[in-house]
Amino acid sequence: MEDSTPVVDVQGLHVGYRTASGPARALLDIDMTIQPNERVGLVGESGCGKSTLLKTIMGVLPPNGEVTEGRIFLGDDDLLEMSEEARRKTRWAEISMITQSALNALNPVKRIDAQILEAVRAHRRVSKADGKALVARLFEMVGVSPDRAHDYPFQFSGGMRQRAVIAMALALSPRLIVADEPTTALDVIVQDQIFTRLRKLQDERGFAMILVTHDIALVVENCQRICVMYAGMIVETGQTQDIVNKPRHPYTIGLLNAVSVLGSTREPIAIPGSPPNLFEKLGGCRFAPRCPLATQLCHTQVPPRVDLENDRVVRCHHWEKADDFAAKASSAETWAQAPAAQLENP
Amino acid sequence: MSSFWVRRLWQSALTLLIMLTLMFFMFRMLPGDPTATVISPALYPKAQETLRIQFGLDKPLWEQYLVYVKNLAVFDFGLSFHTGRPVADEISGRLLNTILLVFPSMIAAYALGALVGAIVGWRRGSKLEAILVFLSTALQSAPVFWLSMLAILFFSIRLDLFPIGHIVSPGMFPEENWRMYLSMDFLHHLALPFLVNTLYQFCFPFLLMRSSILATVGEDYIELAKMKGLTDRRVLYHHAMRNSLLPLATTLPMTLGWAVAGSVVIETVFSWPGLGLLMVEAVGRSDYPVVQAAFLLIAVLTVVGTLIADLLYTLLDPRIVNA
Ligand SMILES: Nc1ncnc2c1ncn2[C@@H]1O[C@H](COP(=O)(O)OP(=O)(O)O)[C@@H](O)[C@H]1O
Ligand SMILES: [Mg+2]
Repeated sequence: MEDSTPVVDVQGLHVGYRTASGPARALLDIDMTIQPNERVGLVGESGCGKSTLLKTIMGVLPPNGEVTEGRIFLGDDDLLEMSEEARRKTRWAEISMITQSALNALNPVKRIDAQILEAVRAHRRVSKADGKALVARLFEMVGVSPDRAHDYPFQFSGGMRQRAVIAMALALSPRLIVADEPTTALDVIVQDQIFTRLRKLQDERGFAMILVTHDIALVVENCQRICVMYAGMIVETGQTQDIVNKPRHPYTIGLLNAVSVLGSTREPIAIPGSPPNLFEKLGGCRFAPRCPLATQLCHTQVPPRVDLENDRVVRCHHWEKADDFAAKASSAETWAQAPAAQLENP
Repeated sequence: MSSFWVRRLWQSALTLLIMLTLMFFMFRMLPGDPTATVISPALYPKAQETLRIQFGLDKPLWEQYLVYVKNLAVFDFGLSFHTGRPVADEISGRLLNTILLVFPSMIAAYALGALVGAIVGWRRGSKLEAILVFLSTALQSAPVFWLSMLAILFFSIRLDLFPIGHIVSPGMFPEENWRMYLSMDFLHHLALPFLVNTLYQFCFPFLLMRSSILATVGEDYIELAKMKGLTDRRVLYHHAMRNSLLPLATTLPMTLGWAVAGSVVIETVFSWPGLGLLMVEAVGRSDYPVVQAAFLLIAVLTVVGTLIADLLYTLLDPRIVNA
């Protein structure tokens, strides 16, 4: 796996938003490599910048968003350096997206088959008959009857709409599909069906995938690799098994702690406190206020990137104390020692 | 036809009935005796009585009302007090003149307003946007007669580009007939009131389209349309504008009646022999049958326009199913 060329390689990416209350630094020094065929999970609390990262990759940042530094390679080409027309051609053909809210992502007044074919026709000529056949094939792939392809979005249930959006994402056989909380709005059973379908499709068609969610359990179940994000930074990445067995960042430990495990008596505990606002100047580790391991160093110096064995990366001054900490992390008192928690209950 | 449309048609018919009933009583409640204009109080009482019987004014009110409704049903609006000719004949030519002025300029204004509003909203923050928004807001609140007079002053008097008023040059078409409408002379006369009306009507669709495009820009389906690799133009015309067109396409027919009523001012300033000018003249001469018929016509236009708006809505928005 190490020697294959990545599909997408994000290097040192910084993204900010101009806002009325000053610049918000939404992404800080993001490195992320996606190998062909790989499923990578991106987890983090809401507001940590997951959607911002995907939008930056797709090139649809809102007008007040701006890449201040970094590169995004698609093969050998830097997406950020391309002409607008060259970039447009890569969209959907190379990277497509399954959006967070299928309800709002489909244009309410256009038929679904037309919306799918529109994407295809933006890249190549398709005859009417071929187009129809293509849509029928895509609908079969995602498990919706092709008879329904000519419907409007409002005639579909939530699950069907999500499937339609997946069909759309598959239309041009892209190398990478990014999925932004694809099932957050759906019930657990439909969610499960959709993931089973996605995994099967991926085995058959061989695309890489970034799955974005705030639900670490979903990622553990579905992805080979995990990136854990906190307040605009990727604080830890590695193979799923390595991360679950031996988390190295206190935030990852906290996230794992916060999910209940079926059949276990352990009570899930949430990490006390809330993420920092993104306007502050970056003076140290952004997690430090909520971290029981935090020392003076953490408040004054941004933790450097530490590369470990097996493609593991962690950004923590105290990663070596992680095992020790993990043992105590399931008790609420441990978390009460964090600076923020101390401020709340002195 | 679905039950919705049947119900809608009944509603429209009922609205019209209420309108014409109100109109009937309204004209009979006006201060003074409207019949005084045709039946001069200076006549002998005997002669007055004869005329009264001739006009049916001796009958009880409800009977007069029934006759009125019955006549309207066959488009008999009675005789003009002023010319003695049937009101329908008096009005039809005038209505055509108004339609030729108002409808094309409304359509031009809406088409242009929608397009410019969409483009300006899509590239928000431009200088052009700021200027156009300021001008439209100012223009919208400016009185039309003032705008018309400015236009005449500048284009007709100062630059001598257009005639000062009327529909054709005096003496060009001694017998007004359809040939008149095909002449360059007619177009020359039409140009200035058309431009003023278009400019004035442009503001509303422009401002509406711009703000509804601004509201669509952040929508998820616009973002998806971009991600699909559609060109910027296609995203604008096929998604943002297509969806923002809904409120606009439906206000256009609804405002037609209002625009015809509003032509009173512009027609007066430009001496354009349309329905608006006719109303002004008729009111001045207490020619009530004519005024009444003109009012009714505007009511009919409004009701029909609203029906068309409903129809357009169902055609344009698949989510609305009128079962
Ligand atoms: N258009 C925007 N303008 C200003 N701030 C934004 C904008 N979009 C997102 N943000 C901010 O950027 C941060 C990251 O947002 P987002 O990427 O949506 O997070 P996530 O997808 O992880 O929930 C949040 O703090 C959010 O408030
Ligand atoms: Mg998000």
